Amino acid sequence: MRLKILFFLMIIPFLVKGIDFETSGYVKYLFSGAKLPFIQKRLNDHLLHARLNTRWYVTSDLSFSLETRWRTYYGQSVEDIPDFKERITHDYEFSDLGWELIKKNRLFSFAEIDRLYLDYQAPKWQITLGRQRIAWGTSLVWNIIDLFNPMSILDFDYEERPGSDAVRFQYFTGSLSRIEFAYQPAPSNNKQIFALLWATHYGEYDLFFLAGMKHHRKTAGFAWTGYIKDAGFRGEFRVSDPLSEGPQTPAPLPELPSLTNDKRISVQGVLSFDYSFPNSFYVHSELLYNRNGRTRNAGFYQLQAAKADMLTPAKWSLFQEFAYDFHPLVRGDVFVFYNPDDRSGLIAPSVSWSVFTNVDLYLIGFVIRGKSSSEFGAMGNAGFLRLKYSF
Amino acid sequence: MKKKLFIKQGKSFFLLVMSFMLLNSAFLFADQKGTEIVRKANDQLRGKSSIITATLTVIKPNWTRSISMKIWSLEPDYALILITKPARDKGTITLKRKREVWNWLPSIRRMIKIPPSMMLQPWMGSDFTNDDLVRESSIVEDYTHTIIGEEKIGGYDCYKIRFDPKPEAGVVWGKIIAWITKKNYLELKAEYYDEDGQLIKSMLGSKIKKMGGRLIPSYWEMIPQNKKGHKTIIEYHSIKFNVKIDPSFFSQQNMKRIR
Repeated sequence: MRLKILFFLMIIPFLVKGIDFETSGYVKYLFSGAKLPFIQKRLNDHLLHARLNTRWYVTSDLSFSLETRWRTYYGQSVEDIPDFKERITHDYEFSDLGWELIKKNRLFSFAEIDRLYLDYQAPKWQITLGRQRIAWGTSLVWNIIDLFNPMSILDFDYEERPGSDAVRFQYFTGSLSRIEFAYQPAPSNNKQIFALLWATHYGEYDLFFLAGMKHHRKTAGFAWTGYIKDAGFRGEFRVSDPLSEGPQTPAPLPELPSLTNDKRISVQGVLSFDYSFPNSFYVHSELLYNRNGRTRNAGFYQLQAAKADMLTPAKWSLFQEFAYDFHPLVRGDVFVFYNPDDRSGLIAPSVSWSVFTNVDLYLIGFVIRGKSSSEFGAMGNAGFLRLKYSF
Repeated sequence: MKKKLFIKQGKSFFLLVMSFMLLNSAFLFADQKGTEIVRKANDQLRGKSSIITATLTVIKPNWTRSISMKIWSLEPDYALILITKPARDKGTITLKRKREVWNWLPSIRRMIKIPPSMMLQPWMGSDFTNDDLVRESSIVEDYTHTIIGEEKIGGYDCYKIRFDPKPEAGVVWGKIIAWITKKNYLELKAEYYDEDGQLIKSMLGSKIKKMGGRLIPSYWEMIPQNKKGHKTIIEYHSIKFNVKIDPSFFSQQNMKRIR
């Protein structure tokens, strides 16, 4: 039934003449081969992934957006990874708006709506209601002032990120300044988020000031983005109520301390620099500090850290990236994550090639180093090949 | 790193805009009669503000790529660029205010501020170089120009004018030779020579059309010398000159609004 409604929503623009609408999207094929530490076999999987974005302009100020995502997996992971569905889907607070289409041995097909919102724009303000993406922050890897759904660079095949079921109001005070309010309701107090963001501009810097409440913890932060000479310089900083005042989750192992027992004020900070040389060589460095982060056994804390609003389980995280255009259509990139406390890391070399107009080939590998209890040692080695057609 | 790819595209769009602006101001040369002709040719292409739709195509021996865009600009400090094609980049918006540049990336719904070091790299091997784009403004003062003859280009009678760098000027070109029509003052051809007198590249204007109330060449080719099968084309689809836009139009709010 719900699927029929979805289908109906999607074809309306094609049925009703005179509706002003735009569509776009892509179809991707992704092959992945992975060796995970907790599974004996190497896992080979195929994923066919389509995205369809539609936006109807009811008037020039009022629009309705619907974006759907269709994934069909075929491979060993479907069979061998327990809770496969939970691992590849996002848990929304109210309704998932997701449908299992096929589940048969190695085949798994899933459709979902990850954007569904109304947007109204007045000359000075804008209101957006529904499942939407609220992307705050200035850094390119870690966005600690993004209270809603910070991006994850390792999840490269879903750069759109899941939406947030929220209401967002923006009041524009100038060409480069605004005040924003966003609220994400939830059945439980512990899951609600509300935040006020003030964006302003000084010299050649964009400045952001944040105050809010996330998962029952008060929080405040600021971020900036600007230039040091010709280089990019940005950063983010946030303090929050202690983790002990938020929702409690159990320690990953009984003999380890729980992150949510920490009674200290939470402090997080990010610094980010990048520079492009005239020959296209690109250098990008980032540093993340998290007072609640673990210096030992970080690998065990991945899940608990994610639930506790931490971008990594580590106290210190380093990121370094280099990129270069080998050809106008071919870009090579390599980035490294490094945890200086447990000396574990991840290296990700990649190549992207614009094969034809709108057809892109992408190859990326994740190579890990570290003990099994370390932050990256607990992850797996993996290689991916992706062909993408945009329309 | 996906985002990094986007950013890389974004910075290149900025360069494209510079390419378009080059057409608006590359011919600001001055010297008595030559000066007068050149100024008129330049006025023909220039507006205080404009809305342009155009396509840039890079042609290489083995491949070709095109990008189409709509550009709102208010000289010299403000521009908004909306990518309309190809699909992979569609909806990407670049805002320029003086030295600052932001990209709006629709797929990740994020605004990213682009550092100056990232802005000046050629888009997919375009034959417009940074020197073309960045140094053009100084060409006004840095060259003298002399009428050296008259020739027909594409059936139009043209003045042939030579530009020589002034001794103290630190310019890239040894000389430039340009052809400007006697009627309507349209620049139809320019040749760029290095300091040894070697021809490096030529720019050709054609498909003269009335756009924005003016007669202008709507099709431009930049052809590098000694590189067979290489060329970059800019084609204007529509132009509106001197539209009413003030600096407040070039806002982060409008970045997400314009269509």
